[in-house]
Amino acid sequence: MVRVGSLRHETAVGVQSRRSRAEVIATRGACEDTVRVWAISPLRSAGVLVGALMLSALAYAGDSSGVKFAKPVPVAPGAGTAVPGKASGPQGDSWTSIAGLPDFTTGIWLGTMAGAPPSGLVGTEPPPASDGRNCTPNSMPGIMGGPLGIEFLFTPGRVTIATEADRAIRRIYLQPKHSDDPDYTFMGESVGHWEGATLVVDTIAIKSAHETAPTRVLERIHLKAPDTLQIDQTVFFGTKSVDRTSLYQRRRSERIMEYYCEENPRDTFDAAGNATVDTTQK
Amino acid sequence: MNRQLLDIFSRRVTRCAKRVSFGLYLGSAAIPAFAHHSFTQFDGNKSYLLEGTITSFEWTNPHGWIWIAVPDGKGGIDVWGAETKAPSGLVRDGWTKRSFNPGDKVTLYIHPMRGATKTGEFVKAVLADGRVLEPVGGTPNGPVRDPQPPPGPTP
Repeated sequence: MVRVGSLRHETAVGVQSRRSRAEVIATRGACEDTVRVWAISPLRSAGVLVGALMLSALAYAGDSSGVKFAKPVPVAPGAGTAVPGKASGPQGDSWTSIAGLPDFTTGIWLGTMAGAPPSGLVGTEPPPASDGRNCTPNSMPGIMGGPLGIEFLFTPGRVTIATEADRAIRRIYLQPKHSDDPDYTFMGESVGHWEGATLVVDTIAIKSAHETAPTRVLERIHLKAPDTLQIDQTVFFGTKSVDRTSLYQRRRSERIMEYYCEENPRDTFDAAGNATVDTTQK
Repeated sequence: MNRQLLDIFSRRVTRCAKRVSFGLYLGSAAIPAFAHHSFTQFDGNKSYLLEGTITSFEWTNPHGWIWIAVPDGKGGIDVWGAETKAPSGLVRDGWTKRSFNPGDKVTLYIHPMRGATKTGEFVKAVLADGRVLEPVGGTPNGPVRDPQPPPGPTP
C-alpha cells in the first residue's frame, strides 16, 4: 500500500491528487495543459516517467489497448491528524461519564445558520446544480442548517446527531485523531472530544453531490442557555476558511419527523435550474 | 526553452493562477446550505386567489401539496396545486394531516409558478369557518400582494 501510495504522488495524475478539489475544478480545460507542462519540469520528469510506467504495469497490462483508468482517489486532507485542542472533563466514554456531560439530548433542536435567513431557504438560491435539488443528498455542513430539526444521542465513545433533513446520521467518534485514509462521505469523518462542557468536532473527507465540498469543518458546540445550543463552525476550503455561528432552540416535547425526499418529489429541475412540476393527481 | 516558449508558458500560468484563485473564491463563498430547491420558480409579485373545493391534501415530503378544484367561470373546473412546507415544518405551525380534507370549501392564496402550470407557492388559506392558516414566519416569497383570480381557462 505504501508503495502504491508513493507512486500516486509521482504520476501526473498524482499532481492533481495533492491539490484541493477547488483547484482541480478551477484548472480544468486550458489549464490542464499548463498543469501538465508544470508537472514535466526537469526535477519531476524522471519521477513522473518512472512512476507512470510502474503504475501502468501494476494497474493493467492492457493499458496500450486504450482502456481508460479512473484517477486515484486522493487521501483526504487532514487524514491521520489530531483533533485541535485539549480534552478535559468527562469524555463520554462510559455511561457514568455520560452522566457528567451537559444535556444536549432532551427534546430536539430547531436552528438557523448565521448568514441565512430564519427559514434557511429565503434568499439562499441554490445554483442550478446544488445539493438537495432533485432529491440529491445534502452534505456537511449544509445538513446542519434550518429549518428542519436535529437531535443528539449520547452513547459510550460516541455522539450521534440525527438530522431531520434527509434523515441523515452524523456519527462523531470520541477519539484523539482521524483515521489514516477515510472514505469520502456526505457527512464526512467526524472525530472529537469534550473540553469541559463544549463538544469539539473535527470533520474531514466530505463529499458533495454537486457543490465544492469543504476540506474540513471544525465545530465547537455548547449550551449558551439551558434551551439554546450554540454551534461555532469554521468551514475550510483548503487554506481559506469562513467562521459562522448558529443558534438552535430546544423543543422539549417535539419529535424528529420522517423525511424521505423521494416520497413526492413533484418539483424537478433541469441543468439550468428551470423548474417543472408534476401535476399528476394521485 | 526559448524566450517565445517562456512567454507562452508564463501567460498560461498566469491565466491558470487566475482560474485557481477564482475557484477558491467561489469555494469559500458557497458554503452548502440545506435546501431542496430554490423558490425563484414562483412569482412573488403576483398573488392568485383560488376559491374552490379541496380535492386532496398531500402530507408528504419534500413538500406538502394542497389541490383545489376551482370553477373557471365557463362551466369548467381547473385544478390548482399549492406547494407548502414539509410536514415537519407544518406540524410546528400547528397543522396536521387533517388541516384540509377533500370536499372542504376554502380560499387559497398563492404566488403562481412562472409558466403555464396551474401551481404555486402556498401563502395563506381561509377556511369556511373563517379560520386562517398561514405559515409561521411567512413564506419565502413574502405575503399576499394584490390578489387576483387566476387567468381564464387555457385555450
